Amino acid sequence: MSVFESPKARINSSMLSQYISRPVCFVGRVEKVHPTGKLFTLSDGEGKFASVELNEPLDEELSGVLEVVGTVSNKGTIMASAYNILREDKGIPFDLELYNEALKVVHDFPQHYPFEIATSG
Amino acid sequence: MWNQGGGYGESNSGGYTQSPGGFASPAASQGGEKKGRQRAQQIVPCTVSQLMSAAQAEDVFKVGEVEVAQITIVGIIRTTDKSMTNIQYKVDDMTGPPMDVKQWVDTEDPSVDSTVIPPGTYVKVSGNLRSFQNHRSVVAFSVRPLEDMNEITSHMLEVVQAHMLLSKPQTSMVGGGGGMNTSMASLSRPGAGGSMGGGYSGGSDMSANGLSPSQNQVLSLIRSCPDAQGISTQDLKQRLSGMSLAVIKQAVEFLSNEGHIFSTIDEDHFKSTDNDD
Repeated sequence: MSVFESPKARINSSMLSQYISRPVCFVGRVEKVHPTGKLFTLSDGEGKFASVELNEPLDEELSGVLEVVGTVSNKGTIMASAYNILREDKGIPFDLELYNEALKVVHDFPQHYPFEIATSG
Repeated sequence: MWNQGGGYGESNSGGYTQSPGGFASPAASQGGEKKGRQRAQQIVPCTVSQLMSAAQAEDVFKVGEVEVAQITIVGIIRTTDKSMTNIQYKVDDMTGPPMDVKQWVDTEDPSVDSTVIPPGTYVKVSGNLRSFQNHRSVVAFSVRPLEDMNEITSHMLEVVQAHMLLSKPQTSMVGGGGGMNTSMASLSRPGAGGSMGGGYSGGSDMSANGLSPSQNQVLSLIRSCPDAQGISTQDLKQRLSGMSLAVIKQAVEFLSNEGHIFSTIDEDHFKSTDNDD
């Protein structure tokens, strides 16, 4: 089952260990990019880091805030299926700390923000 | 703060109110409102997962207790498909598989932009939820690329807030947030000294003067009595056949404590303080 067809819970670094082998969506700021271009580090809204691994090396300069979709490995790294840059080119910076607060809200109220499809009729 | 434009377009106080009679129920109707079908008038921020899981009865969709017809979602375009008459997108907001979004293209109207928005673009979709042969989709009247990515964050918060507010009235008081709290605070002033329980008995039925429907009914009957000695509790009971004596006495006590009425010849006769003569 493709990662795209599943729900991809929005999480931050602290939650990685609870989502081993599950599809997730991680938003963070690019910190370091490995010379191979297949590994990079993101920092979340709490300033904590996460490692992201790609199948193919990056073919572009990465900076700013990224949204990564992938599965969490049992080492706690994110095996990315895709990423997209949250553009700030309109001059409006993305507030990562606020996004982190919103993350906490949606996890506090799963009944109002489900990351799953209910199968009842 | 995050954006002044479309993001808050639907979130002014009028947008979420499901019941038109929420704050203005006339004293005349006693508990008669909210019976029968009410067409939802709101546009509700949702997640794709909520839309896919929504229960369907005939042509009415419900997410829990919240009726959804017109909705907004915020997600990233995964695929596009353009035909002569429409553009079909698959929009992914991470809560489930991508949602099918169809936007009709008016080929005659040059002012309508029929340019396909490319995959990888974050958009806000406003439209109606549809189901055809068990397959859910959205027919959009607006698909707008996001310029401010903070709208992703604001949509997440708006979804939780809207669904909380639109769910059972009792819980909406708790989860109301800033806007609800200020309006309830101003209404609760008349009831502040007296029985809060009585004042909130029909929480969502509060009228503009801060009195519940039953209190308003008792008050208007007392006001309308021209006799010098006022109206008696027995008379009130006779005229308000739907109200128990206990409720009438509770209302009378509250109104008296608040200064709306006063007793006259004895403890069972009352006149309104509003009459001037």
